[in-house]
Amino acid sequence: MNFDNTFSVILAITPLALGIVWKFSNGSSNTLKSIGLTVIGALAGGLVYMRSAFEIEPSILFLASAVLLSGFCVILCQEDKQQTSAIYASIMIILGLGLGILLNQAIVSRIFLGGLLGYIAISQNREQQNSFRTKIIFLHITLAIIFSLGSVFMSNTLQIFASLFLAVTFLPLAPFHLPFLGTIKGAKVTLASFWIVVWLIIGLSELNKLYSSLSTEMLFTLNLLALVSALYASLAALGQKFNRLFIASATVAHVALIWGLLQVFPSFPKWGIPFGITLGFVMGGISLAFSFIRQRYGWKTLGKLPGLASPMPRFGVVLVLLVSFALFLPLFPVFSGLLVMPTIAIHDVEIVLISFLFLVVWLGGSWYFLQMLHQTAFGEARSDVPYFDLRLTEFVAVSALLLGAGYSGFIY
Amino acid sequence: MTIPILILFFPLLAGILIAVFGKCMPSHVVRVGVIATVTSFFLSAWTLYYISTEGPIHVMLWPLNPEDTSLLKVGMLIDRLTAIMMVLITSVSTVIHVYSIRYLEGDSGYARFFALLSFMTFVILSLVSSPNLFMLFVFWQLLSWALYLILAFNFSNRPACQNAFKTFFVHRVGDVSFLCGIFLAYKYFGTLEFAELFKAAAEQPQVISLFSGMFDISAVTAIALLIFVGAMAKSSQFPLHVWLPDTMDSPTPVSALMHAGIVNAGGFLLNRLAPFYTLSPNTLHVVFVIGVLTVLMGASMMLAQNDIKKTLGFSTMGQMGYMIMECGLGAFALAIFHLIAHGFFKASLFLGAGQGIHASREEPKFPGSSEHEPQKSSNTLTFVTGLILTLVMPLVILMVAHGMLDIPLQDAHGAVILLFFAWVTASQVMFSLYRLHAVASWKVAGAMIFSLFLIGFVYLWAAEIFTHFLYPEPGVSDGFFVAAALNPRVFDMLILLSTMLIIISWISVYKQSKGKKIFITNWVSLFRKQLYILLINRFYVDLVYVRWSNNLLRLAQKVAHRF
Repeated sequence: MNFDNTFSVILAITPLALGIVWKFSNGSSNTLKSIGLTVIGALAGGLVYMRSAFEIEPSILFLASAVLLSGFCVILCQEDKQQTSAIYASIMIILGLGLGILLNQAIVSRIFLGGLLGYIAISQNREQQNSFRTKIIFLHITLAIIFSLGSVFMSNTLQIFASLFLAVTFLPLAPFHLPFLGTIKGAKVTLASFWIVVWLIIGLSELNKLYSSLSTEMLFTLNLLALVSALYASLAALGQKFNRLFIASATVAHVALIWGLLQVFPSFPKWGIPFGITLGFVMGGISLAFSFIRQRYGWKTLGKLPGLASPMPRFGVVLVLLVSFALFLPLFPVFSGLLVMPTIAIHDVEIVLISFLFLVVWLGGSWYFLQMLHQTAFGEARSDVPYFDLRLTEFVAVSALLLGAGYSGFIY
Repeated sequence: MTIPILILFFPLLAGILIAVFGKCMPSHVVRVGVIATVTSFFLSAWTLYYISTEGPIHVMLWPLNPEDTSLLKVGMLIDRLTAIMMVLITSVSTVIHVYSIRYLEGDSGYARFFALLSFMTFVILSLVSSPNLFMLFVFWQLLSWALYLILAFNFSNRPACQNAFKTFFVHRVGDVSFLCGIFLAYKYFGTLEFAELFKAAAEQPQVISLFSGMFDISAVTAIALLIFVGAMAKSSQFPLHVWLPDTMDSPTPVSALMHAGIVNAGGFLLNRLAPFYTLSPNTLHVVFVIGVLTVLMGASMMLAQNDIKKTLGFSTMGQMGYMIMECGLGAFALAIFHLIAHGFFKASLFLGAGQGIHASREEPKFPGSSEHEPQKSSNTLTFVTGLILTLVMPLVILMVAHGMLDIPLQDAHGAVILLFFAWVTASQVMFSLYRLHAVASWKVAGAMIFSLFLIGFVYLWAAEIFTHFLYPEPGVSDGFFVAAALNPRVFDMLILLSTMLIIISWISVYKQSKGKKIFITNWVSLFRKQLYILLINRFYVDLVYVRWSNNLLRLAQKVAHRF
């Protein structure tokens, strides 16, 4: 093992070890917060060093930076409460495993991936009831662990299918969306936001390794599946009452765009990765903003607490900005993809399929995001609730995610 | 030549300053907004003068190297069309800024409103100065969103928010079609720059072939139709018209801005892409049919309204249909002429209506009911004058169309179209003047003759001068008329049908004014009642959409439960 490999393992192990230690210790919340932010700062420094010292793909560094930014924002906005030490520990563990997957290659990366899937299974076991749905989720995760560890030893064709299974799990397409939904639903308050970003980034990294090996037939099948998934998830988001599941459904609907556009746009890292990160940040931002309301009022159901923009202007501004971004999300991959699209070579049937997919995501998004905005920020505020606007750290955390989304979407 | 950038820069700067510092400097909010818009107005006027003497200006902002072949270019294209639109936008925006000073005084969202108003002015100015489809689409989107935010300005008012949502959603339907058009334009012609796109489309005709060649359509026609759906949504064309009449819960200045500026975006888009549309006569015919349908629906639904702002809303819908119809007949410049006249006219009507509504709310007593004086029976002189004048015009049109009469205009084909619109407008005026019973009949008859000459002059010469100002290159505007020309038989039938309708209307009006019953009274009466029910329910189009969306929501709830 040479130095760059060792260094990337160290970068992953540090937060992981810290998280495991915190899991079993009772440190002061303020101290953990300071240490957590310092560690993330140091990890960012490590990434800068890696960029200058080693030959590493820029898209991987970009993905790792996005994980760090998301972790930083979630830690920054934590309130000083009893439960927070467990959240800090979880953030560090997920951060370590995520960096391990992204920065390493071959078997090392797969071990970290297996570890993350194992951690997801443990979290699910703690949170979920013993239902048929939970059994399916466990079966799915078990298969994913087998594929992730076994893919190193598989033949080329099997390796492609194993990677594809992992990719559709982490860039969730229906019917492979259940682990994602279960994780987001069961995550502790602000942790859902971090999970959304990490989940999508791992999916992007998997697809980045895989996309050049996908055949035309596979791409066509994936395009069809993406269309069905987008329709299904958009309808689910439209009818969803619970805020966590709403965000998860909206994410699945938008992820379908990545899978569909693979058929017409080459050079996935140029359009897919920036879009995926923007999507993660925007959905993570909405989830974070919702979790602040949940922390204050135990709010879970959309429509139960309308009119928040009047008594909580900071929350109103943040939510309007996030929804504005979310409404225009489908444009990002289209315009960045057009830059690399071969013009005449694309078949007209593919264009028709993509147009339908786009129509579903675009119109669905317009409907459910605005409906959500009207159910939370707009309308008349309830008079029986004592309102407290977002604290400065909370405002800064969501704004940082928005800025990250802006950088990824417009500049990168 | 970078001064035009300032036209966009000032409203943007004002919007940012007001949004960021508005609450700290409430007394300066208005000053910043008004100064920025007035400065932009003067710069636009100067640019119009400059453009008409020196020619179009191209400003490239990004990429900095003009040789760069990047797809996504940011810059400005200022030709005569853009310059005229800029003058219209900044002048209407200035009036609305000034009007809003007192209208919104004391409102908690005062600064937010002016920030949005300035931002919206910037967005519309950027839209009209876009040098390519990419930039135009981006600002088209921003316009939809800014409109939503300003319509939901009073966000605790549920009906206002619901209508803002409806508006935004209808616009999104048009936007997705517009985007598909852009996608195809790039796929088939490899560029989104206007001049290059027009050239490529004219030189390399492409065919879209679906289902193994079972369905073939010209790429230009497909692209033009898809983009036209975008224009339909913004300009409130049937069946995407449902948003416009329901946006009256927003403050009056917003209504004025919307009806005088934003709804014109569709007409502007068609004008900007006029050389592209002329490559597809079939699309122009579709545009014409949609325009006619919208005119008929807008004007008829307007008659059944009892709310002044809603009446104006439906009137705008009809006018927009008229504007689109003009584009469909190749009279692109006439549509801009119409758009400017309508913009100023409707802005003043809305601002006046707002004052009227406020005044009537403050009126302590009920206003005195108007006592209807017994109607005087109308004179045969006015009837005969009106009848003859409205029937002379179709005769002239048919003679010009069949080469029996020559009108000395630069564009021979345009004369017929201009005469057609002059006839429609003149007929409306004749019918209105005929109802002036209180005035001496010789004065009414004189006014009818004078109106005919005035309208004829405006359409034939003023509109033609404007057409040649907007499209100065020889043969360009005539080419538009040629491309949009209807089949001569269809055109003759259209004229004959309209003439029959006018004759029937005159007979009906005359009989009624004389207190006589028409021979099919019961049938007409029943038809009128049914028609009134249909009109008051807006042809049930809204109801169909509501039922459809409720069904979809029910399905969504079931899906969400299983997801």
